[in-house]
Order: sequence, then C-alpha cells, then structure tokens
Amino acid sequence: MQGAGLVGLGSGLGAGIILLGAAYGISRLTSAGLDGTARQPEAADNLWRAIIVPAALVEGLGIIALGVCYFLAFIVFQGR
Amino acid sequence: MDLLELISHHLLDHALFSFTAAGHHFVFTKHMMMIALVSTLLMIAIPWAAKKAGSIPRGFYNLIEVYVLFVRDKIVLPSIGRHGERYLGYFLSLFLFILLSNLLGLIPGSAASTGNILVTGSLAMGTLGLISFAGIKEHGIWGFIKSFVPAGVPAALVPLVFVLEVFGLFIRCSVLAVRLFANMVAGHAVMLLFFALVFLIGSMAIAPVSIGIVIFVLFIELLVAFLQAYIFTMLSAIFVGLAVHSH
Repeated sequence: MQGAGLVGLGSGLGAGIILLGAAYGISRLTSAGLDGTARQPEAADNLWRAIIVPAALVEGLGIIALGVCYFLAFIVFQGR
Repeated sequence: MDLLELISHHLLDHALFSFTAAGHHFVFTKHMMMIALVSTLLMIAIPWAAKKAGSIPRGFYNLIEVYVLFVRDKIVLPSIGRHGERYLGYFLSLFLFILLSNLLGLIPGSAASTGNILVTGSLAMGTLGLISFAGIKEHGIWGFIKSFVPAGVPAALVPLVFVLEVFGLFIRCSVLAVRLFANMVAGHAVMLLFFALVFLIGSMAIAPVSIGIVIFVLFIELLVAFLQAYIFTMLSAIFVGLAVHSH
C-alpha cells in the first residue's frame, strides 16, 4: 500500500465529517432561535445577536478545517 | 493547463507591474491595487455623502447613514458602552473597508484584498492595538496588565493564568484574521473549482450544471461578504469592550 492515495481519501472523508459537525451546530442554534422567537416574537431582535455571532464562529471553524482539507488535497496529494 | 496553477493564479497575489527608482525596486501587486482602489473609493464617497449631514436623508447619504447608524447602535455602543463613540471611527473604517473589499472581490477579474492573510492579519493587528490602547487608556498601563488576571485566582496560579490570558488575546486576534481570510478564499476556491470542472471533464456538457452551481455559490458569497464584515467588526468591538470593562 503506497499511502499516496490515503491522503486524498483522508481529506475527502475529513471534509465530509466537518460538514456534519458544522451543519449540526448551526442547525441547533437556528432551532433554539426559532423556538425563542415563536414563544416571544418581540425577542427576535435580542436573539439575533446571540444567534449570528456563534453561527459565524462555528462556520469559521468549519472553514478553517476545510482549509486543512484543501491543503492536504492540493499540496500534499497534489490533486492526482 | 495545470489545475493547480490555474486556481493558484486566481487566489494568490501576483505582481502587476514594477519599476526601479532611486536604487530600490518597487513591486505593485494585485491585492495592493485593490486596497488602493477600496481606500480611494471610501475616501471620496464618504466625505461627499457626509457633507449633507443634518438634513433630511435621501439618496447616497441615506445609504451611508444606514451603515453608520448600524455600526454605532448595534455594534459599538452595546459592546463598549458610554464612551464607545470615541472609537466609532475605527470600527466604521474597519466595517466599510472589509465590506467594500469583500464585495469588490466578487466581480470577475478582480480579487478580494481580504483574501490575503497579510491584509486580514494587518486588520487584526489594528484590533489588537486598539484593545491595548483602550485598556491602557481606561485602566492605566499597570491596571491593564493586572486586568489579565481575574480577581480570586490563587497566588500560585497567577503566572500560569497571566501567560494563558496573554496568549488568549493574541490567539483571538489571529483567529479573527484567519476566519475572514478563510471565508473569502474558500468561496472563491469553490467557484473556481466548479468552473474548472468543465476543463477536468473535458466536455461542455457539464457546463450548465457547473455554471448554475457557481451562480448559487455567488449569491451565498454575497451573504458571506456582509456577514464576515459584521462578524469581524462585532468581535473587535466585543474584545475592546472586554478590555475597557474588565473591572
């Protein structure tokens, strides 16, 4: 087993698992926000800040991890 | 054409023109030109719009006023409090620069200057400087250094907590820079990859699907441009607020 193909496999699987984690986190946030807004529509503005900032942080983590996958796929594995 | 070279040509910075004068070699790169363009546009448009301040807002002045009030009332004042208006100039410049730079990067043929880690790193360094300046101005330099160690920490742990907190400040600013950079580059990379799909497969049959996906990603990138400008400015304001209010 040469190992060169495993880097590509690893980066692809990693990107998929990152997607699961980031999507789960953001959807949990959104569901909590919807619940809060449904209970009390006037609180939608106050909830907005508490939703958007963590959502962008989670998305930032996801994109940073995606950058690691890009690095593995294009620089280590060289897209062969 | 090699796929890697094609994509790296569009994502990385490259020199546009250079000249040698007085024994020094000056190189002008594409991202430098984009920074100059964004700065010039802002320096022309904002004072021209602000001349009408105090009258009933209409037109371009109304548009700028929306952003100014948004940054002041939703970002700066809630995070920093009473004397937040002192720092409003920095946050407005930051927000408008990042927003305009992200938006101009979406035009085909031009590049996003915020897609360069050195540019976003400089913005984060500016935030780091402002955090230090605000903390020192509020508490004095010894008070600022003491503010790194919260009250009630046992004396044996104070050096460890101090070192961790200082590292934490630097790491938070670095993550600000990397978040903006990674969001911009990832969006452009995805668009370039889907365009390159046509070349990889070799036939034009995939082109409608490919271009459809690229248009979809372009709309998402529009949202991301606004969101990332807001997030960078918001987190900077929160960090400055933490430094100012740490008592």
